Amino acid sequence: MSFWNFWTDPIGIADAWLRGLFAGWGMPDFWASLLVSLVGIVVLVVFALVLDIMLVWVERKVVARFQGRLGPNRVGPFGLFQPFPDIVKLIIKEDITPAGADKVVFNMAPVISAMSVIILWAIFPLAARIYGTDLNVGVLYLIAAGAFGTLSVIMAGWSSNNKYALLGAFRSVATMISFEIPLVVALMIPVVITGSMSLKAISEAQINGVPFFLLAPLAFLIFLISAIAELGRSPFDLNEGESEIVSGFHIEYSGMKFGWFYAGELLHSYTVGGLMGILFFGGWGWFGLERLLPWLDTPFFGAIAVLGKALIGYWIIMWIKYTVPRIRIDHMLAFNWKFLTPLAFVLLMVMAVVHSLFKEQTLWVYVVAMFLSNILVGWVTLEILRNNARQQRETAEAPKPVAQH
Amino acid sequence: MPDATQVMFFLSAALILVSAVLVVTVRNLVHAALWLIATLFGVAMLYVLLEAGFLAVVQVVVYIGAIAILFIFAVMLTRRDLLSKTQQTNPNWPVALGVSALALVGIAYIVRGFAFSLERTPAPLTGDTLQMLGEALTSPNLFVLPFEVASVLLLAALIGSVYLAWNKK
Amino acid sequence: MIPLSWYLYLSAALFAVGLYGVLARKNAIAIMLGIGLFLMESPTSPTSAVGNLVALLSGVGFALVTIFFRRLRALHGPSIVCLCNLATGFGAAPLVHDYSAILGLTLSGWAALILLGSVQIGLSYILYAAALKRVKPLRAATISLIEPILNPVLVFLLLHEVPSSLAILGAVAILGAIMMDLRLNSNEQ
Repeated sequence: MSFWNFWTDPIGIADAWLRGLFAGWGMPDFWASLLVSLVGIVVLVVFALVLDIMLVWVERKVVARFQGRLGPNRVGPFGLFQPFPDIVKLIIKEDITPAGADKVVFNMAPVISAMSVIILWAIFPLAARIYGTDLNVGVLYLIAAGAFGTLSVIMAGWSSNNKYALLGAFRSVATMISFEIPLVVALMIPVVITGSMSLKAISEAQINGVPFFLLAPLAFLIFLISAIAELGRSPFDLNEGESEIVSGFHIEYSGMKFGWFYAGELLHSYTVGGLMGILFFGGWGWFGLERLLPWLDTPFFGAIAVLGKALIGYWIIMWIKYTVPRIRIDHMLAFNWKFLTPLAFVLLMVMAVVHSLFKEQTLWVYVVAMFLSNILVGWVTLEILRNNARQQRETAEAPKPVAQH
Repeated sequence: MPDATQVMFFLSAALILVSAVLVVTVRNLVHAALWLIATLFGVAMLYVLLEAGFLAVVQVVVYIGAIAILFIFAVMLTRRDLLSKTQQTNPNWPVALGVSALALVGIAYIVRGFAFSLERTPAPLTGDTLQMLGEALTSPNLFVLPFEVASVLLLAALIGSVYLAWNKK
Repeated sequence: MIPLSWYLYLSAALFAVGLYGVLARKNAIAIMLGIGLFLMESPTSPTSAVGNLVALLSGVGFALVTIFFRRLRALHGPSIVCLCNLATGFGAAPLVHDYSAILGLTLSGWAALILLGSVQIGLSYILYAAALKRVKPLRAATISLIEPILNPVLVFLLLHEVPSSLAILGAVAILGAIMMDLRLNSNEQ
């Protein structure tokens, strides 16, 4: 087993080696493959959770810089070890379950919330040869995992025996299921362009062709907005904000249970950033550089590319969070149903038509045609919005009838 | 020694049946809805065993992610006072038990009558089942007409629900 | 390998549990949870798509008929029935391929046609409309489920063909459900 073999196909080599080891110990084939799968799952989950811990540090540093301060800088160099005291603090806190709360459901809600994020890592391709599994319905699996997130919110809000928690949970769930529609439609656009729902196939199509943010920038924007709403992050976090509803559905959670909700939200944001990278920014490719420098084409640098793009996506989500003020719930839902959903459907139809008309042409004609169709849809939308705004301004500024004496 | 798929089938079947019995017997309706979610998840596991991965994921998205959540909302927004205090079964439950047992025995008996021709399991489809499903739903020779009619039916349901909820001023 | 019969046994068990849930629970939402269990059974026999389509449309049509008869209950039932059937006849007239078959009917053929039209369609709709003046639409639709049960009974009486055990089982289930519904909800008027 040479180093180059391991370098180019780490999972395959590790799998073969472990199986050989277990067969050498006399295990029957069924149990050996089961055990190897379990080892793989444990490694993946541990990787995701360790990443989650470091994300706490990233979040606190970035929010500090946006707010003009330094952030944690005492525990370790640049405050790098700060998450560990955070975790210790959360673990040693008293485990409070409110009186009258539904104990089983109350304790299961943070578990299911964290579960809905970690199961996303099963289909997250880190490189051409490093991925959990290659489902041919990968994109739909993302939505299914989101369904579990919605479930956990409702379980948390209901079992807390608290009016504010229930209200926050209802609004959270209403927001999440409303924004699923433009999310799915925006996800369908890379699927239509690739012809497959598998995340690996979408990444490969971008590496062999053009990254999809050049072909469908408007789809990327719709995905970004809907994903931020799905995450429940600002500017859509009315249901969790402290000044609004005192943390919404996780009011009654303290200690490590709250830690799971918080860490789950951070990991979810990071995973969504990673999905933006995979779906729109070329997956594990280095934007064509890997064709010039073949040592970039290995799984290690592919994983670095994906994780780096995930970090940039995460940074964009945080940037929006710490800059834009909150949106009220009725404005949020009106924005979704009256603007995002029709726009997403129109964009999907236009993209599908342009793709089927132009896919036989040369690459540059295709790219330009898709990009221009996006610009056209965006322009038409802006004109309609401008028209609407003008009408509203005119009715608001019309001279009011003055009472006659 | 049953093989791996049979073990998974027994696990899924156990999950489905236990959760289903709990759905119809627990007093707290929110708990019943949560047990329904466990049942639906067991059915999704069965779909995976039947190599219908797309149906499994759609089952989770549609049934668990939408319909079960709708049930939970319906339970939470109505009859909050009666949720866990009163007995949930009406006085006819022995008759109901008898009728269900009769139905189970009857159907099992009929299935057993057919069993000799069913031991041959149909061979799994080769190729990309998702692509075949897509072609089946949109090809003019296959099922595009029922597909479009189903969407019209959904539109009718949507319009009906908007009409019912319309605030008539 | 998992034999197909195992899936059918599982579906039968799930059906029984769902049936218990529908019959034995008080709250309407709990009953609907039972119906949700019904929907979990995967159909294993392929059926024709067009047949299902026609059945679907006819179901929707019948539901609309029920609802509209209820809303128009202040008007004269039989005249509505006549008008509607005439309209249906005019609407269906262009679809008939070959009018010569109708014109070539013998006297017994005409008698059968008139009998079918007036008794089987006309009289039954008139009675249905009259019933809908008193009964709510959902109750009427449930009671009209007795009709498919009576078909095998009629066949048994006239043609001496014994219905299959599954049909008898279904008939028992439907009759039991209707009687239970009437007994449990008879306090509503």
